[in-house]
Amino acid sequence: MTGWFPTVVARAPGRIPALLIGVCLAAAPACAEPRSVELVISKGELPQEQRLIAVSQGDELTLRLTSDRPLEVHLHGYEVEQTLSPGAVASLHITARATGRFPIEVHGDTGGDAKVIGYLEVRPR
Amino acid sequence: MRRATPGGDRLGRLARRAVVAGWAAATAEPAQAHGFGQRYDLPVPLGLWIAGAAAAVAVSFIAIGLFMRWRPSGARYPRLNLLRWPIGRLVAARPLRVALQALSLALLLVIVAAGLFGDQTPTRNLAPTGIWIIWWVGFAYLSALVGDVWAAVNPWAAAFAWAAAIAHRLAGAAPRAPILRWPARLGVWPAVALFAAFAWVELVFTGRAIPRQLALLVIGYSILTWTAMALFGRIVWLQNGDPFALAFGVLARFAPTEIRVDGGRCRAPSAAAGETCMTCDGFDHAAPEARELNLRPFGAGLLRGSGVTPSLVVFVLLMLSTVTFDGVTATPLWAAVENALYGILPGPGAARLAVIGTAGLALFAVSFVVVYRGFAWWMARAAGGEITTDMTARLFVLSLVPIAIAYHLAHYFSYLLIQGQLIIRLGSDPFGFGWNLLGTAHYRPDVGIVGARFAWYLAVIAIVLGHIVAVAIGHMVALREYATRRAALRSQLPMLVLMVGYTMVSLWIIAQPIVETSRGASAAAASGVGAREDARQFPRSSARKETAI
Repeated sequence: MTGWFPTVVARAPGRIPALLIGVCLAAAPACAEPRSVELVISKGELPQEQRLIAVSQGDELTLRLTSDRPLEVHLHGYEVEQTLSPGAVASLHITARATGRFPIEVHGDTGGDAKVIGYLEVRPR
Repeated sequence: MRRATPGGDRLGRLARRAVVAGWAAATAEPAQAHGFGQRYDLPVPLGLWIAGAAAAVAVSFIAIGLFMRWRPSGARYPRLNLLRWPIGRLVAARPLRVALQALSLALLLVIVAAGLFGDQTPTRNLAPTGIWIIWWVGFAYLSALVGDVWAAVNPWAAAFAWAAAIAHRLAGAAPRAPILRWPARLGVWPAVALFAAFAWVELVFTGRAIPRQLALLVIGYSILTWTAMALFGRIVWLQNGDPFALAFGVLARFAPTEIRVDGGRCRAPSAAAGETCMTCDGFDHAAPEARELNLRPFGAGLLRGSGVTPSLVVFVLLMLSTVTFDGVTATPLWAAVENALYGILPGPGAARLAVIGTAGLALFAVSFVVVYRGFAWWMARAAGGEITTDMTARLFVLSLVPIAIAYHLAHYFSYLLIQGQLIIRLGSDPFGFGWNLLGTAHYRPDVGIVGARFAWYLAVIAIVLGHIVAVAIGHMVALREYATRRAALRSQLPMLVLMVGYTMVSLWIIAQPIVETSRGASAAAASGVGAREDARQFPRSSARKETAI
C-alpha cells in the first residue's frame, strides 16, 4: 500500500529538472526566475488587476497571501492549499512545471461558499 | 480490505485529504459545462489562431481549384480486407467479441454498484469518471479514430441477446418476432429525443457528477432500452431509438475501418430496407467468404449520404450543437451572458442556472438546425434547383461531421489525458472504500502530462485537417449527386461559407480562456443543491466512517 505512493511522486520531479535545464540553456536570460507575488484578498476577492497571474514554465513561484477574513486558499491542478487568518501572511510555493490555466479558489472557514477568485497561467517558454 | 495498519490509515487520510482539497472541489462546478472534471487548458495564442484560420480559408479555395478538374468516382473508395491476415481474423473472431462484451457488462455492473453503494465523492467513485470520461469521451475518440467499437461491445445489446438466447433454449420455442413494428415515419426521432435528454444531463443537470444519481440514470436507461428491445426487436431499436448506438455510429462513419457482408448487399433478416449491413449480427450470420473487415480512408463512411433520413439530419445537427455548446459554456462570453440573465431571472439560484443552461442548449440545437436548413436552401438554389432543399440537407449533413470530430479531439485531448488518469486510482478502489486492488489507489494525476504547446498545435492541426476532410467530402458528394460539374461546384460555395464559419467557431472557442462563473458555484452551494454541496459532505461522512472502524 505504501510502496507505490512515494515512487510515483518522487519520479515526477526527478524527470522534469533535467528537461528544464535543457529549456533554460536555450533561453538563458529569462529562465526559471524565482517570482514572488503579493496577493491581498479583501472581502473574499482579489483586486481586478490580480485576477490573472501569469508565469513562465519552470518559474519558482511564491504567492504571499493576506486576507481580511479567515479563508482557505486552494490552487487547482497543483493541489496546494493554505489557511489564511486576518493579519498574518501565508505563502503558497510551487515550481511551475505543468503548463495550463489553474483556478485559485477560496472557501470560507465553514467550508461552504467556494469560489474562484483568480487564475494562475503557467505559459510554456 | 480495510485500512489495517496505523501507517496505512495515516496515508489513507493524507491521500483523502489531497483528494478532498484538490478534486472534490474541482469536480462539479454547476456553471462549468461537461459532465465531470476540470480543464486546465491555456487558450490558443493569437498567432496560431490566425494561422489556423488562414489555413482553413486557403484550403477552401484550393479545394475549389482542385475539384474544377478532378472527377471522384462516386461513393467508391479503396478498401483493404484485414481478414486476409491472421491479425484481422483475430480481431473479428466471435470469441474475442463475446469476451469483450462480458467484460463491458461486468464493468457496467461495477459502475452501477459503485454509484449506488460507493462513496459519494465524485472523484472517489468509479461512476462519474467511468461514465463521463472513459466511456463518453473515450468511446467518441475510439469511434472516430478506430471504428464502431461500441457496436461490438455494447453491454445492453449483448445482455439482451444472451437473455433472449437463454429464454429461447429454456422454452424450446422459436425466437419470437418483435411485438411491435417500428413505424417508418418515426424515423430516428426517439433517438433524437433521448440524445437531447442525455445532452441535458451532461451539460445542465447538477446531479451529473453525483455517483448515485448517475447510477439511477443508468438503471433508468437500462429499463428503457431492454423494454424497447423487447417491443421492437434489438437491432431495430439500436438502429432507430438508441441514442448512443446512433451517436457512436455517426462518429464511426469517419473511422478508418468498416465491416461489410456480401460487398455491402445485406441479406440479414433484421436489416432495414436500404441498410448497408454493417452490424455485427449480419457479420456473424454471413458465410466466412462473404465477410469483410476493411481498412478505408478516413471519412469514407461519410460519403454515403443517401441513407440519411430527415430525422437523422436533426440527430446529427443535435450532436454537433451539443459539442459546440459544451465548448461555448466555458468561454467568458457565456459567463457574461449567464451573469446577466442570472440577475434578471427570479427564483432560487440553482433553478435559474438550470433554466439558463437548458435555454442555451435548446437555442444552440434549434439554431444549428435553422442555420443548416438555410444553407441547404441556399445550396439548392445556387445549384439551380436540380435537387430539393430537403434532399440537399440530407445529402450533405454528414460532411460536417469531420469538423465536429476535429473540434472534439482538440477540445477533449488534454482533458482525457489529465482527468482520465483518475481511472488509475479508481481501478484500485472503485467504491471509495479504501481498497487497493491493483496497488494504484494513491496514484496522483500528473497535470503536466501534456504541455500547452503540444496541445495547441494538436488542436489547431486537428481542426484544419477536419476542415480539409469536410470540404473534400462535401465536394465529392456534390460531384456524385449533381448532373453537371457546374451545378456541383456552385452548390459547394454556400457549403464552403458554412464550413469556414463552423471551423472559425471551433477555433474561436479554443482560443478563449476557460472561465468558471463563481456566481454559479456559490449560488448552488447556498441553495443546498448540486454536486458541489454533496462533495463537501465528504470529510464529515468519512470521519464518521473512520471512528466506526
